[in-house]
Formats: sequence, structure tokens, C-alpha cells
Amino acid sequence: MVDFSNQPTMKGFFAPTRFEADVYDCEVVGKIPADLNGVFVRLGGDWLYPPKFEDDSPFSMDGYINMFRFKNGVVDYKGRWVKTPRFKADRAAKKQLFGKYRNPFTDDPSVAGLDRSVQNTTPLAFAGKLFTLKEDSLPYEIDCNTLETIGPYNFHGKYKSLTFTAHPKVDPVTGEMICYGYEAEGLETNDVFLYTINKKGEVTRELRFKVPYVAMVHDIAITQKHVIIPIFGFVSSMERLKEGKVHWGWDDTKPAMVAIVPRDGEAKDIRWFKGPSRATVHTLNARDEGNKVIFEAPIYDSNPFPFFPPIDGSAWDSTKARAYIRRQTFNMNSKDDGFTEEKLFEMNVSDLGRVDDRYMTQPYRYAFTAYADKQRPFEEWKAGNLGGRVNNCYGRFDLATGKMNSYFAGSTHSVAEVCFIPRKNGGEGEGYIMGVANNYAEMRSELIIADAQRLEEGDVARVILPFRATAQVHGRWVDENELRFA
Amino acid sequence: MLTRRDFIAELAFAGAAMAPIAMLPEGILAPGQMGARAAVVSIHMEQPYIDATGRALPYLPPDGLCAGAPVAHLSETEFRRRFVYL
Ligand SMILES: [Fe+2]
Repeated sequence: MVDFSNQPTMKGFFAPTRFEADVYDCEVVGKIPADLNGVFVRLGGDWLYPPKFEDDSPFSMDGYINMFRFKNGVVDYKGRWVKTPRFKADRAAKKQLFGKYRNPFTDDPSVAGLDRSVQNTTPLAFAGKLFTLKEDSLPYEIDCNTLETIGPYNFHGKYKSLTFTAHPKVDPVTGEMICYGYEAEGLETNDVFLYTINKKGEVTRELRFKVPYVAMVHDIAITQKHVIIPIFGFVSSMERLKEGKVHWGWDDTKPAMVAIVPRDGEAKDIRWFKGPSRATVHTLNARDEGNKVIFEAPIYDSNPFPFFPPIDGSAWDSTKARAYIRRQTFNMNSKDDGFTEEKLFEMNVSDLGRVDDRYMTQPYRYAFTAYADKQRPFEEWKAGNLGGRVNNCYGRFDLATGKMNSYFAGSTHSVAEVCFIPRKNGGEGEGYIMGVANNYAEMRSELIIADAQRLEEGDVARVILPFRATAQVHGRWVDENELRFA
Repeated sequence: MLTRRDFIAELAFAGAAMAPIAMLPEGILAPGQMGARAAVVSIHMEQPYIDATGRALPYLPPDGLCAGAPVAHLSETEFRRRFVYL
């Protein structure tokens, strides 16, 4: 029988929820905007069974997909486990059979060879289908109405990489998806397969190349001519897996490297640039300007994740685990491998930043992300003393003026990743921001909807769930017409 | 079940007999000036709780559920080891 009693940090708001849910006609404070029809779909993780190892990564949690369905001013909520082979095997055995993050050597021998992926990172709607994404496996197709799991998907057999990124990019000009898999030929291989898939879901291009060292390749950016692929100090090897460690360790001696890949070029045309140690886990946007490639992202000074510890045995340094919105400029005419970097804002932010996706690959002005404002009130006698440690605000960062506009979620709240939803036919940044807040005083989740141009005015509407929604990594808005919703 | 509404109604009816019991602003009745033997009355989740011995402390419900409290003591490293994107 399952037992969480020996998990001292899985308590209070952070206790596993583990149930599947349907809430019809959710309670709403305020008024749902009439032009919001579609779903806000979130993907994250929860523990069906406790982890086998205390020092495992939270990225090993079983995938859980949930959505807020908006239709004619009414919101329904639905949450389901992603039913992978791993989930089914654990359920049948009634215990955790799988070991550490992306390390099959730590698994129970009974599950050798089974797809051990947990689908817990990003939801994706593309070519009329809904998927869950996790960078160690193929996408899993999900029924967009029931959220039941259909199974792995390989784009009619034409997608050959064994893995698929959690951050594909859809070009708003062509409608094509640029996506990739790393460790593409199997565990610890240094192969990257880069794909273009047209809006019908057909693979139209494949480019295979190798990275200088096996590293995490979590996110990319695209311009009309290039793909920007950052790699940094999260390293891995078969030796460390056989020693029973989590997949990644941090190597401070590794330079941050950035590949600039021509979208219509070959492997020989790739240029690798080299800079100081950084962690570019997530990106914002990029563009071509003459012979330069301009790339912006919330970039960490160093290792952001203590569960992927330094390989030299030193302690994780929380003071370097801070992300700042930075611009990196790559001169494609240069003869050396250097690039320039600027810090665009002095405040550190969540690296889960978003832009108005219609402006991807184009000049743009606004970035949205969460941040912690320690000057705002936090009522610890109601919420518990998390003040200053959690993101309590969403910001709109104006890259043209350096100004920031702020939305404050509340004095007993923290916020998950923000999502920007454009208003139809509106200009850049006209629309709504949306994201789920934890309310630690009421022990429930609340979906925030605010006017992206009037953040200081607070919510337009807030959807109240009568329970805690499962923790989210990424969330996406899917418009009514993108999928065949009932 | 005796509800707060019923209880308050009974209280009003009892009137003078209960008058010495002080009513606190949060809806809690306490011994007040009655001395050690006065009943201690608390109301939580709409239900009155009465300690006739007068020795109990009235229950004070928290303003909130303090759902972040179980992990608030963790060091920054231990906190971020478990909660990545808070
Ligand atoms: Fe991500």
C-alpha cells in the first residue's frame, strides 16, 4: 500500500494530490472575458508512489495534465494522469519501480527495457493534435476532450530521433514547427536531430549533427533564417549513470556554447559560439538583423537546480541560481567564436518567460514572466512563512524602454508560469495574461486572468478551484479553433 | 447538531442568565469576569464547542491554513531541491 508518511516535505500545500478531477462550471470571481474561448492546458507532475531515492529530481514525478476549458464565459476543469507504460507498471505493482531521473540502472529489474518516461513538462497543440512533451522520449498524444492518454507519436514514422524536446517552436510566418531531439540515438549519445514539420504534421526536413559534449538541450529559439541552440554545464556520462547518479551533474568548467544553425543549411554550416559559464534553460525570442543574430532569454548565472549537483562535490550556490533577462548578439561575419552579452534588466526573474508568440522570429517589445517582489506583503500567519522565496508577481518587461509593469497575485499566494493570450487582431501585447496561483491560506489553486496592458489594475477574473491543482511546469493557451473540442 | 445560528438564538433567549459571559469580537465566548468556573465556549466551522469545567482555553481558529508552513523551515538548497518553479 502507498505510504507518504516518511516524506516530511510532502505536507501542507505540497502533499501529493493523486486524484483525477472534473469540476463543471467553476466558481469565478469577476467576469470571464467573452473573447476567451479555448483551453488553458497545463502539464506538471505528481507522485503516484513516492520516489525510490530521496535525492532524486522532482522532474521524475509522474505526468499529470489538466485544463481549464473556456466556453461562452463558463469554465470547466479537468485533470488526468498521463498514463504512460511507467505509470501503468507502477500501478500494477502498487509501488515505485523506477529509480533516478533518466537513469535506468537504478530501476527495478522487472521494468528493464520499458519506456521509463514521465510526461510532465510541456503541453503542445499542433497539426490538430494535443501532445504531452518530455525531452527524454517521443511526444505522447492526448485526447483533447477527455485528456486520456493515446500513446507515443512519431509523425507517421518520419520523426527518427528517440527523443523530442519540451520546447518546439512554431514559426508564426510559415506555420512550421522547428523541433529536435537530443541524445537522439539513445542514452548518452551526442547526436541532435533537428526537424522541420509543416502545419499538416508532415516532416519536411531533418538535419543530424553532434554536440561538443553531452549536455542538456532544453530550449531553443528561432529566427527566419537560423535556429539558436544553447548548451551549458549540465553534463552526463554512462559512468555516472552506472554509479547510480541522476542523469545530470553540473560542470562549472564547461563553457556555455551556442550553436547557430541555418534553417536551410547543413551540419557543416553550423557555427558554435563560446561564452562564460551560464545556464540558458529557457528562451524568449530571437531575430536576424543584417549579419547579426540577436537572442534574448532569462539566463542564469550558474546551476539553477540543486538536484543536479556540481560534479566536483562542491555545494550548490543559491546566489548564482538567479536568472536575468539578457541579450546575446552573434556576429555571423566574425572569424572567432566570441559573442557579446548585455543584461537588459537588473532584477532577477523566473526563467519561465513568454512573449506574444505572433512575434516570434520578429522584432518585438514585450516579455512576460513571474518574479518575487519582497516589498509586497506576505501574510505568513495565514500562509506559512514562504515570504520572499516565492514568485508573487507577473511582470511585463518592455525591452524598448526598460520599464516593467507589475501584477501582484495576493498576500498569501505564489504564481506558476505566465501565459500570454493575444486579443484577436490586436497589436503586440494586447490581450490577457493567465497563470495559476497557489493560495496557501485557503489551500486551493486559483487561475488568474488579467489584462496584459493593465496589470496594475489586478484581475479581470479569477477562477477558483476548491482544491490544489497539481504543480505545473509549463502551460499553454489553445484557441477554440486549434483542436476539435466538443 | 447544534449550529452557531441556533446557539446564538438560544443565547439571546437565555438573555440575562448568560449576560456575564463576555462575547469576544471573533465570535468566541470566554470566561471573562465569571471566574474559573464559567463555561468556555468556542465556535469553529459553525459549531459551538462548550467546556463546562471552565478550565479549557477557547479554540482560536487560524486566519488561514498556513499551507506553506511545513516546508518553510527548509534551507534554500533543500527548498529548491524540491520546489523548482514556485
Ligand atoms: Fe521548459
